[in-house]
Amino acid sequence: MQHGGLGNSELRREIWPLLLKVHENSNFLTDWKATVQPNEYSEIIERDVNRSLFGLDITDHFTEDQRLFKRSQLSKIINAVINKNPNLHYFQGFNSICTVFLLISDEDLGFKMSYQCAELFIKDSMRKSFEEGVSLEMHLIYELLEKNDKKLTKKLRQIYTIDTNVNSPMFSLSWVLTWLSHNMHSFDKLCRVFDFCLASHPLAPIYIAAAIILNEKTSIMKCADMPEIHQYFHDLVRHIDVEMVCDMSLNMMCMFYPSKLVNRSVKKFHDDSPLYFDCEFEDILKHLPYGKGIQWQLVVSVIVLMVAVGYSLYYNLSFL
Amino acid sequence: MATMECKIVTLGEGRVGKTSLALKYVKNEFHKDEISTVNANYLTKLVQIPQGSVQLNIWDTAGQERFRAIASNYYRQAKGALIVYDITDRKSFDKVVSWIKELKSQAEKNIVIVVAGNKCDMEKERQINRPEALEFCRKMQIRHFDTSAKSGNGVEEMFMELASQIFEANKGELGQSGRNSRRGKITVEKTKHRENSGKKGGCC
Repeated sequence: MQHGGLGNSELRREIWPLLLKVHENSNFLTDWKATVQPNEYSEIIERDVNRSLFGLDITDHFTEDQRLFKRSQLSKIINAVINKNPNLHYFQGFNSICTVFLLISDEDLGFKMSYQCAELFIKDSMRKSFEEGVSLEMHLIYELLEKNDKKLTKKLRQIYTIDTNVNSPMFSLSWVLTWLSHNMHSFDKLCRVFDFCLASHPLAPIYIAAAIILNEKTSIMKCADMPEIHQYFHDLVRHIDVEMVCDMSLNMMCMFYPSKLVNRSVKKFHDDSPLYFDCEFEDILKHLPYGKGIQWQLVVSVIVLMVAVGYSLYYNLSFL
Repeated sequence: MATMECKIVTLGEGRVGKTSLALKYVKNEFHKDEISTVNANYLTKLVQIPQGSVQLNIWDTAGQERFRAIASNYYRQAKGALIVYDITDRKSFDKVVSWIKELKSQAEKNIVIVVAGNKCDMEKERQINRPEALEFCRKMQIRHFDTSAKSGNGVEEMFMELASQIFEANKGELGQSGRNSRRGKITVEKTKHRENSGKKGGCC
């Protein structure tokens, strides 16, 4: 949660598996290499893998051999995740998430983290159809926006309901599905986003999307229609200040707890949705100096400052 | 001069070259490892045709089946559709039929459809023979183009044809100002360039 997240790859290699509870599922996750056989998604997986490990700063200088080698590992990882659990369905974009886990560790840990992430964080993106899960999550972005800026929400709702009949800001779907991994160039910034998502709550990508949108509200208010909005955000995401976005997201989580947000969904999520699991995290949220707490911090800071100024004035005056 | 502004959509199986064709046409760019599209990209280009000018607002959609419900939101009110298949992949050609059916039942009545047999630079690996594809499209009364986003073959020609057909099909409406012009209806307005963005045709 702190500024900069975990900061470096070594630490991430240690902490991410803990956050993903890899150790709790170790029996199930061993011998995964026996389950890399083809499945109903293998063709599309192969096509997507063949254009993965590309477009990130750390893959820019890969030799062709390195790229091919990593792609073969990635292919095994994704196929094994899908084979291990028939309830997990591949979506275009999952390859980008697995790529991050592979690049931060190795083939074995890359698989274990990818599987656990699918099971514990993004299960609702991997239902048979998006409508059963992630589309419902997408609607919640409006709930968050509404709390912060009614005018902006009204505008987005108007544009998207007229143009698409969809009750969510569709341009942010790829951010939510891939935790920005489809949109970022900097691997470091991307890992920072993953730090935040893994350390907080499966709904974190929704808060992140809302934060990015809120941060650009002035520009969005100037956009007339869907094409303008899509175009505006197309290249913007790779340049965003991830620190600020994570900070804003956490602040929103403190003001609007994930468990409360889930309940605002128009339809219930599946019973096994990870969105219903996590309770520990909110205990931590209660102790964070955000939301209402931040005002108290401010009051305390102002008092300390006034005392300091008063004291120095008194000291200087008495000196005169 | 009268500019017809219209929305078109690219459809087809994953990895057939939808994004590559759009990028080649709009920006003259080609990337061998074009990143897969999640959701949809947006590109735009002003085309001069003998009858006038047409601004093509291209929604380039994701290919995977599960994005199909989302794609329907993009072809709503579209004036044109480009259905792409890969000449080296039989399955992708089979998908063309289902796309045509879906468009005929769900999209605007006068939507102009063209079909692109892409990757024609890979002739040796061809799985769909040309006469078969041509015959199929002739029956459907749809123009077919052999294209290669890599070499650029047929790309310009195909989009020009799409623009002309859309112009012809909708010229009756030209001049009637439409409140919802940007959403696909047609109006006379000052030519306006929208800055094309996106280095690699990522997503949004």
